Amino acid sequence: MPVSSADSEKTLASTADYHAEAPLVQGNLSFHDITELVTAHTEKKTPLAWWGAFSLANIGLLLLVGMVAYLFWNGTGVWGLNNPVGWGYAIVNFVFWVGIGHAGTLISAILFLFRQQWRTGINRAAEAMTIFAVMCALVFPTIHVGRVWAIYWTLPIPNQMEMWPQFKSPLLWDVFAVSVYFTVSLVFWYVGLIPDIATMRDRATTKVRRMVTGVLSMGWTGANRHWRNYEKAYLLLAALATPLVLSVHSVVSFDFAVSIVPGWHTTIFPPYFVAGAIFSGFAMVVTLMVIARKVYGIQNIITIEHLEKMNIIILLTGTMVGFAYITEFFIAWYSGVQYEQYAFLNRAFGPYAWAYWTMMTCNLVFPQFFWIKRLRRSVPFMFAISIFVNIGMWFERFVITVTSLHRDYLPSSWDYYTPTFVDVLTFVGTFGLFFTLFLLFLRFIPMVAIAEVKGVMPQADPHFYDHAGDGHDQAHDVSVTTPQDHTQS
Amino acid sequence: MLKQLATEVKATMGIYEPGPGTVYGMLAEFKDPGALYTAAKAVREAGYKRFDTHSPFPIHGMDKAMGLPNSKVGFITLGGGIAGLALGTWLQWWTGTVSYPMNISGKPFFAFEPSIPIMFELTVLFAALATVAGMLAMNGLPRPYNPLFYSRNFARATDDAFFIHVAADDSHFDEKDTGALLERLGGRNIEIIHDRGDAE
Amino acid sequence: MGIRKSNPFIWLLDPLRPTSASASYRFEWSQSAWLLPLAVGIAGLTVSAVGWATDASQFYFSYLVGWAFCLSLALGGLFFVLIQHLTKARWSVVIRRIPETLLWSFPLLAVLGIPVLFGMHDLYHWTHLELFDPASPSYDPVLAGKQGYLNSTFFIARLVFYFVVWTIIAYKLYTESIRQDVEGAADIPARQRFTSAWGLAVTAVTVSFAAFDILMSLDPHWFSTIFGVYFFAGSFMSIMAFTAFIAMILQRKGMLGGVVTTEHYQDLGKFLFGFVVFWAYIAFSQYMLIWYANLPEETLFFRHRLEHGWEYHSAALLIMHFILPFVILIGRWAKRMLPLLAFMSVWMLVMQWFDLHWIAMPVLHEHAQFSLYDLAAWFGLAGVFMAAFMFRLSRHALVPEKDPNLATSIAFTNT
Repeated sequence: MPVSSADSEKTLASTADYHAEAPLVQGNLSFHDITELVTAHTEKKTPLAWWGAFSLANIGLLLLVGMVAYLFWNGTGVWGLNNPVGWGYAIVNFVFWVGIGHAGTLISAILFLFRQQWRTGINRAAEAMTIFAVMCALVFPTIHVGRVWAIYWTLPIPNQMEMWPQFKSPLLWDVFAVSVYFTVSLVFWYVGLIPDIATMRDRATTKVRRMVTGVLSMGWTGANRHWRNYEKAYLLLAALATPLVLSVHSVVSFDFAVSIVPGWHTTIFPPYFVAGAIFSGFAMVVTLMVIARKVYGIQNIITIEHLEKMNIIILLTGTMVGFAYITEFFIAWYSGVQYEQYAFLNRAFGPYAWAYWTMMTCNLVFPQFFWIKRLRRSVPFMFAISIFVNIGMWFERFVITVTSLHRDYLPSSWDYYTPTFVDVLTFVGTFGLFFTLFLLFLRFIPMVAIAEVKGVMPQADPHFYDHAGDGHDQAHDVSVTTPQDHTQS
Repeated sequence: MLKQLATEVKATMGIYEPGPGTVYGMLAEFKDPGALYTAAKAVREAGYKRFDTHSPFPIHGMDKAMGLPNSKVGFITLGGGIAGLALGTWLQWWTGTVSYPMNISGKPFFAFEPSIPIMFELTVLFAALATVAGMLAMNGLPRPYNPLFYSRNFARATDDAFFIHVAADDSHFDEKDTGALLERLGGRNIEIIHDRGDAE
Repeated sequence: MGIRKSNPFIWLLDPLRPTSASASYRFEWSQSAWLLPLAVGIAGLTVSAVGWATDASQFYFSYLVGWAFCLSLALGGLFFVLIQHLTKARWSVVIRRIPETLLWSFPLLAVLGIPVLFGMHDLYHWTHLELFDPASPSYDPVLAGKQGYLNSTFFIARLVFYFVVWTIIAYKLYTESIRQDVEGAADIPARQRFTSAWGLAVTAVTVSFAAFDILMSLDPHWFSTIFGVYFFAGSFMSIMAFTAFIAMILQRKGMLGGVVTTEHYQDLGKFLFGFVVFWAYIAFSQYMLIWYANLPEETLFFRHRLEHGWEYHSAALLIMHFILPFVILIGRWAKRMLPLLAFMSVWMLVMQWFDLHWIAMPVLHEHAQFSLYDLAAWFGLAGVFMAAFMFRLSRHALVPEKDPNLATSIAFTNT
């Protein structure tokens, strides 16, 4: 017999789990506290430490500009590319940075569809990371074309030569996939920002600030008629961004996999690249958030629970990637194709074995430490692991690109690829670009989605204030207005 | 007739005509989302149509409380998606077979297999841009001028305050009755908003 | 109070004695719930037996497809339950017992798999030993290179290993969940999560290799690294269809009233839709990469399936496994309109079988055809499989009654 409805309602009220898990926002913060905590950093005087970091990042940016200028002046001969390794650092770095970007979309779109409310603490910063990482990524194919002044030929623009781009080329799919990804991510990010810019507008004390935020917030007033369309649009954007993010790294993987180069042409590449992208992206989010939450004192919004959940995703995707390595290896043997078999044995035991085993250790072995709860909740430990994962995922792309190319079908053309200082410094320079943009973001834009965080707090639910069936007023359990100490942990 | 239609459409976006004189509407603050929810329900039940709640975050179930139908943004998304898909298909077919046919490793001039990625990307691009454009259009944004901004208190609508705004345009609007209703529902800081038409 | 092991004869069907006597959400349906599918099953298997006597190769292939269909459902259920525990999902608690009950299908499926072993010589070309003999005229150097993996002893050992592993994980998840109904011990969710953590890793690896062994090696020259993911995508899609359909049948018979709501069906519909798309993504990735690279050792798989009438099967797969369900299920209304969702669930289950048929059957027949024995074996195996499922379902509560999130799950609404 099913329980009667009166009974079940009572069970409902008493077990409705407002308190079943650690709250998403800790330290008993009120709505106003959240506003203060987040916007304060965009309103206060620029701290000296920020200037320090910004100068450092700018040096990196200048390095990038210098290296690119040097490249343009001399041509791609200044890179370490040779025949047969025609794709070196530039492609490795491109795939590395695009991959980093994927975590942001995963957090903002996929976790949103799966109703994972913890995403609200980190989605703004992760989406910013996505956009900046994709910008860094776009640098490389652009400068790799050699005749950079003709880069617009990749776009279907009618011209007097009556020529069109070759749509059957996976490199052109990349142009579309990455630029669409950049555009949609930017739009998605901006839509999420509108209510928060309105918050900044309503707190603005200077005329310039009021003008800028006034224009950007487009007259947002938090009207429910607007929230209604806004939430629907947000849901639809999430539903569009989810297949988009899968497609982007799939298309990147097609660059390799449609070829007949042994080690590149294997059907698991699309999902395996996507898993790897999420893996590396989450590692980057952990790296950045561990620092940002500490420096900006927002440990109550980006809590240890958030970090632990991200570490579990790192463990999961790392294991998936590791399993894909093993599957590839197995099928290479199983295929009976001698070139495939050679390509994989050469990866593991050939001249680039050092890169292969670095990749294996960083990507497959290190994340396994996250099986231990104590380790995945330890901030210094996760910071170290996240760095290793970033290194490992860079090496993964290096292994795929370089080891597959350096052995050709003709043994006479075999060669060893060594990057030049221009290769290395250009890569270092993109970190300058990335951190310059990220620091500007931290300085001028609310780094946490204020409206979204407020929306998932228990006191945001109108029924939170109802008297439950047992006469117990749940509103009493969480103080809503008392000012609180923000300096906890 | 056309003007009336325009007024109706603008009302769905939360843009109202000023009522008698310059009176734009009445604004009342409520202490928490629960109170706002109950009050919105009561205001609707009292027969008001042109009113709105303002809150720093979307409130679960408020559409039902206010009696608003489901958002129609999805249709615009669908339209954008179909347009993108059509464009992506046509572009690749036309350039590949009509305008600039070229034999690439013996592959057909046009085939679906290698065309899917770009068809998909353009579908998503157009659908996403249409969604955002549609959302803004349906909300009547951007709207730099809004009489509600004259209220000093209203600045907290994006921080931690919860408001109901009843438009003077509503057929039930009456300064006294509406004020009494909002007060009875627990409204505080009740004020009349004037559409002054200047920028302070 | 507690749970007790059932006697060894019943153990194959249900390792535990009935616990539903004290349950609030009880199975309230006559014995016809499992007698009817059993009758269908016996009838189907009887016809299949005729097939075995008259056309053994056809019988074995038909049987393999039917068996792989049941296996994919059970594995889909295993994945679903593992993921629900790991993510501490709340919405799904009310429908979780359906895939949970499906978990204990592995011992029965192992028994039902015995005919596949007897038919290995017909099914798997690599069992022909002369292929490995350099002196023989049918010596195949490529297959000879795979002999270390593709040989009968190792193959059987692997299958046994997979089934043992799946049974162990299933046993833990299933019996702990029933124990929770009876004892309500507070530590059970944590224990289930622990099992699920290692269970998911082990299941992912074993399912991938099982797909290589059982289905991919039917065409022993062909290889595709994504094949395991392809099998997983179909399995997960089927379990969503199965769960939605069974829940609707139970509700029609007056059970689970007010517990499973339109909101849960909408979520099941979302997953169904999501995995229809995911399947298409995986299928496209596999096909497009092989089409584009155009290497003969890989394209032969698709060449078989794009000529001699199989091209119609391939087209039907594209249209009815992806395009139509995509268009139909994309709207919110479709997932909330229960008769439509029920229809689509059955449709997708049929398509899962069709997909497996499309993978296996071109190996046997150069020209596209359906055989009566295809249907007989499918109905026969699915009937027995369903009878065991219903029997198990009737012995325990229909929902995990003492799951701490049950109330949240009942009250769940989509926004």
